[in-house]
Amino acid sequence: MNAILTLENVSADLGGMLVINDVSMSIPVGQIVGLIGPNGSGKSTLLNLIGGTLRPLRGSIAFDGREISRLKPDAIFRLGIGRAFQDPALFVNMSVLDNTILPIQGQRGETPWNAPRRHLWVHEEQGNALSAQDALAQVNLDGHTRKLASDLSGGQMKLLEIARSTMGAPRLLLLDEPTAGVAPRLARQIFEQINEMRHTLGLTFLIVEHRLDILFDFADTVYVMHQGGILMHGTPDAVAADRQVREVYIGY
Amino acid sequence: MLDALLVDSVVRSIQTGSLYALMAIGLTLTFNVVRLPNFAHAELITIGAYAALLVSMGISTNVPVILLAAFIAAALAAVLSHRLVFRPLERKGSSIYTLMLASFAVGMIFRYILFLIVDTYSLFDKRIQVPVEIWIRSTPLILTNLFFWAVPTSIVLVLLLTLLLRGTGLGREMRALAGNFDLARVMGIRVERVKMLTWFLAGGLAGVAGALWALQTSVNPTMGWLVILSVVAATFLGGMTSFVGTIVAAYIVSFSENTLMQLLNYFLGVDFGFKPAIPFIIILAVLLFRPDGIAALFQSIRKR
Repeated sequence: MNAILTLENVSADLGGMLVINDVSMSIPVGQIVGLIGPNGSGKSTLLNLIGGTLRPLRGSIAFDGREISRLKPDAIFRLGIGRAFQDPALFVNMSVLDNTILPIQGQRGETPWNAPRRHLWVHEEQGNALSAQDALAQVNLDGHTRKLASDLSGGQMKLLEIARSTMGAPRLLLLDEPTAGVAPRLARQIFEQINEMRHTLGLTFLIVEHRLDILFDFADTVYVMHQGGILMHGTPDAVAADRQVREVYIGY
Repeated sequence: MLDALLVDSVVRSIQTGSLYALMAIGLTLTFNVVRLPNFAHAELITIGAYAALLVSMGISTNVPVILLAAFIAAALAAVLSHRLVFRPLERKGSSIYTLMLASFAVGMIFRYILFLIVDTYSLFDKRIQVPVEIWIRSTPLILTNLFFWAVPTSIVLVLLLTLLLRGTGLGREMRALAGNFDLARVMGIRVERVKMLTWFLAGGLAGVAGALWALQTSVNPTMGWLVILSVVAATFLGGMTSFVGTIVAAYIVSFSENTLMQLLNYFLGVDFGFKPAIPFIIILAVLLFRPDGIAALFQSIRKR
């Protein structure tokens, strides 16, 4: 199967401590890949490495066959890797609509010589507002476009982040605990929407998640992290049945 | 007697307040978008004033031409300071305190380069060659052409900047950078380009303010440095984050320095020598009693 993202022998340190140790993984196009592991096992750090906010010490990260481990976060985003964070990271003083439009690439009104000439970009802006409206409708937020992002509820902020992460024409989305702090019923709904977006938008997902019951219902492959390394990977059933994984995850 | 003094000081308050607003807006812009309390803003004002002076002496006494030249000169100086000093420091991960100290140094370097040039070509205390004309005289009110350049130009520029920020894609990117820099970067915004444009705009506005200032006083290398404290007082009082707050605060500072000072002098006999203390008192009062400035006051009113 075609891999959209491959990590080979990636290691990284934070303040001199090795937090990612020789990680290799391969994410096939169109899959929902889960990333699980106990707190502090390095899941979010791994997402930071892929997204470019952290640089690896060693190893290679290739997106679509192109090495990205030395690129800046904004360049990586423009290649087609979108992100959503564990604590909703929104522009709280901007409207829901502005938050959603922001990641769209190559907007004509964003260059200084075009910005004062409204006729050059007003149609494009309207088109962007419509596609933002569509993305917001996908997560049932289309009734809140004019609100400030800070006026949304915690669950709605999560949904807004997911809607926004689909706007920059991404092909791979890195989601860090999309259901954290969300009511159980809404959590399942979020994953249903993710699953739908995979089909309608042809997206690939790498999702860090603690709610294993829901994740296992939707994921194609699950990677298990432990102490900065990959413990195992496989189908949700294989992972759930693994004795080692159960030992790491006492109580599950 | 008091009538005439009061009318005169109110006119001066409005005129100076408009210029303070223009200067403070640029300072607020760099503080929010680039995350730098830029004290070299003072010298950008001076550079604008000297650009205006030179153009008026050699090229044209047409005010729009003078203002345009001042905008470009100060904008370029701002971009230059960003490229040569602040960006390399940011890349090294310098703290905001280091950057602020560096901004003092940059200001000083600009100021002494100006001193050098001014000394060589004897440009001390020159006046801009735009003749003063009285446009409205109905005693005790006297309004000159300079008033009609300073006030509307400032208001129009502040409005244009607000439109740019609120109504265009570029403005949206700038607001995003101001809101959350790291997030803006992860969202694929070309942060370096937006920063550079912010410097260009903030510098340009400071330059125009300097030129308008230079129309009504004599030009010398410390003129920006002498007003920067009032401008900082206005940004503090404005709450550092909101434009409306900054503009209101600019007029408050200017009215305190002119009209309030006039009243204090008339009724209590306070000497005009105390005028420079007023911005200090405002800054202290804000820090002690309303650390979030006027912006927070607006928000609490709106929330109610």
